[in-house]
Amino acid sequence: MLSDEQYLRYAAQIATATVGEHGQQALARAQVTVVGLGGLGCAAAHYLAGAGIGRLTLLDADVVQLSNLQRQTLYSTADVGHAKADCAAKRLAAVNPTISLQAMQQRVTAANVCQLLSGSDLVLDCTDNLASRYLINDQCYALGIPLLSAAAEGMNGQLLCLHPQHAHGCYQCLYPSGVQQSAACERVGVVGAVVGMMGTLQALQAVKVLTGTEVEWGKLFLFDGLNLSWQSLNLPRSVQCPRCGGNDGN
Amino acid sequence: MEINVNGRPLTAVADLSLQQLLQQQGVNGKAIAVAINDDVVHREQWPTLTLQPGDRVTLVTVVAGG
Repeated sequence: MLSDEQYLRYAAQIATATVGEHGQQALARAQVTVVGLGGLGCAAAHYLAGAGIGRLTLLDADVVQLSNLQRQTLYSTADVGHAKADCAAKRLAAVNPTISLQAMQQRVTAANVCQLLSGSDLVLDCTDNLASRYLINDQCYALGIPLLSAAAEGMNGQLLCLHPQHAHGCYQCLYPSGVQQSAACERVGVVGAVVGMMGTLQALQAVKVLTGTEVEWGKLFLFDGLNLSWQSLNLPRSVQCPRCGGNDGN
Repeated sequence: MEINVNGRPLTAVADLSLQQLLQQQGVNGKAIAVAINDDVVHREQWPTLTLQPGDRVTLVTVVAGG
């Protein structure tokens, strides 16, 4: 049962056919982990907290820098030098004090990733480097947790929705070990609204997944912010993939 | 034959493999994923996949920023 306050707080989304009362209860029961609290994670976590995700875990090892404020919308100038995880949790607790927030100033490593992601119903990869992305993909597949992975650079965004129980490819199939990442955001640049939009889309997909709405798993969505155009690509399994290859691979 | 690479028309010789196309275009294969007609083609298939007239080739830059 939803409380009177919950009815009021979430009235706008309860009114939608996608969420409704049952969907709202499902969101309240959900445990979601957001890895990375940069441009993607700020946008995603803000909408997820607002939407009433019952338990939200926030992971980031970094502190807020002045150059983050152009796109990382949970932080203010006074937060510079403070841990992103703590600042984000404080801001989100102000947005929605009725949810449970766990903030950890941690980077995912091979040693801790299993512990950090265990128990999640859904993981959002909002990190900024390939090494973390491989670790998160591997662990989500090992634990059977659906993964919403997004990335942005320049005017371009990518969104990949992965479900270990479905027969499509994984992150490692798309970008096998040995691929080269272009420079990090601050060198190659990124427009704040582009990365914010990709994070927002992660939150949108998360709400759909958690409320039992059908999602197109195994598709790579490409956003061109210059021309406002989208392309979607099918990602089959690679038989050579060390993580998910084998059955149904090609 | 006529193909399309990232939305631009391109005239290519017959029996061209995907690997040969990437070499001709000077593409760094380590920094991209490739799709043909909206299906990602894994890199172990690049040398043996022969392009067909009308194929739409999409070169996807590795993007990992966030």
